[in-house]
Amino acid sequence: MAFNIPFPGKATLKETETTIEAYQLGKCSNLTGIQGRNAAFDDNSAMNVNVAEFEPVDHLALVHRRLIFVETSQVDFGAMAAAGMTQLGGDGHEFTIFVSDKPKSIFIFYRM
Amino acid sequence: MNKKLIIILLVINALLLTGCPKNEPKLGENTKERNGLLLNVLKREFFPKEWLVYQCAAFGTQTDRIDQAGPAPVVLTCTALIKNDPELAKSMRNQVLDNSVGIIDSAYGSYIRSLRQKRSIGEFMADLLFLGGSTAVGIVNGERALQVLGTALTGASGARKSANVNLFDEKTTNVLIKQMNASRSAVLSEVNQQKDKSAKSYSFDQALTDMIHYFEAGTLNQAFVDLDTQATLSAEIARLGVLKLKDVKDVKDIVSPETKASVEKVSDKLVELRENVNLNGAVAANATRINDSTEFLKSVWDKIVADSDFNVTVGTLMAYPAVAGGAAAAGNLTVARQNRLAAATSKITAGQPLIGIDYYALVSEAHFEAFGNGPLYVKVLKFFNEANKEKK
Repeated sequence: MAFNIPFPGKATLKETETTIEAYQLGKCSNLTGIQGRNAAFDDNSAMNVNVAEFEPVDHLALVHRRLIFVETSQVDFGAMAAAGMTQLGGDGHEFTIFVSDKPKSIFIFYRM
Repeated sequence: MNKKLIIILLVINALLLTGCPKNEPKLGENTKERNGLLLNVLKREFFPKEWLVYQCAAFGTQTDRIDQAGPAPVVLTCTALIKNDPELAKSMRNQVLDNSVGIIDSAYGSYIRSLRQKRSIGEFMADLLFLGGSTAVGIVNGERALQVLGTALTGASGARKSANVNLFDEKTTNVLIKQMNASRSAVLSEVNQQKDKSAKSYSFDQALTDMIHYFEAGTLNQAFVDLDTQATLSAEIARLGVLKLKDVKDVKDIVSPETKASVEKVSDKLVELRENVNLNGAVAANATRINDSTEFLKSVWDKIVADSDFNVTVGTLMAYPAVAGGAAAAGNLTVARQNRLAAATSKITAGQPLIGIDYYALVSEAHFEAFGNGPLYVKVLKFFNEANKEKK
């Protein structure tokens, strides 16, 4: 029952992180993946988007309250582990998304 | 004579084309030690006084040595004025950051000017050489002389191509400078965000490490890596194809900072209400909590039903049937949520009284439906606020 939502690729990493963090609560769902895509509209205009996949959960207490998006080149795994963060998609799983309209490779961490 | 001419032409051409490129701007002689020692070099050569003051302000003691190797360092006494002063430590660190940015920017500026100048002169001279050579081919008599000129032009052309491929990765100077500028801005923006942090959470060493990153972002090597990474990631995205979409909301339209704070507040309230109305076992002992929460939820639900703007939302919720065993839930719901909702709506249809968990199902799902729809969501927040006031 997963569903996808496109978010604008022009957003900064922090904006995308904050928006998705709130979106999870607003829709009682958890982020399960995200990928940058080139999108086109009916009027032939184009834009970069990040398509996020969410999985609904039974109630709000199961929603991941904290998300951290971090560029792979700047990750500090020790600090993430110390903060009790779990890596989305498993250890070393990278997501390619648009950050300020530029493709970047990121890690996503979460905790309840 | 002919051999000499060919060699001279090729050497001149190669020198002009490469523009004698340096891979990075020059900070000073000691930057040769940058592999593994750059941090200590910066402390020793650029900011020795700042480092000592920082140690006193941050730790209350200072040592006369910067690196870890060798005999134990001598611990020096700090003056009382600068001892254990976190604000001074922070300001010293920020001062070092500002000075470093200034030094690096200055080095980067002259590096870029030099890179642009040398390469454009090289390219211009090479063009001149080719034009001259080509013209000479048209006017020179004699088979041997033509052969010499032809060989020289081929050699020069090869050297030009090789210089562009090997030294500049076939990128134009502008593309490389643009990439270096973008990478430097990204690092600087991160650094500026750290400046408000205390010396404890963003140390002197971390600040200097970030300055090394800032310096590296303005080097040709890093520009090649960044461009290569971006090209790879762009290709990965392009491979997925173009996605046909009808609408994408701006980030601020999806979740403004106010909405984020509100959604967290309402979510906390809903978690609490669910726990209260869902209490199992000692019902009598928890009767007050159950009743209060039920009243709260009923109040919000009544307001939703009474507002015609929610007609579509209520209609959507009422249309969800119970999920039969093994079947999937509809919409963005889980099976448990859809069944909880169907239990409540079937009671409404049958005219039966609702209990706390029914109201929870209706209110929470109405909240999730309204999220993302600005005006409707604002009304949900208003109903929650009103119910809070009524409770008080």
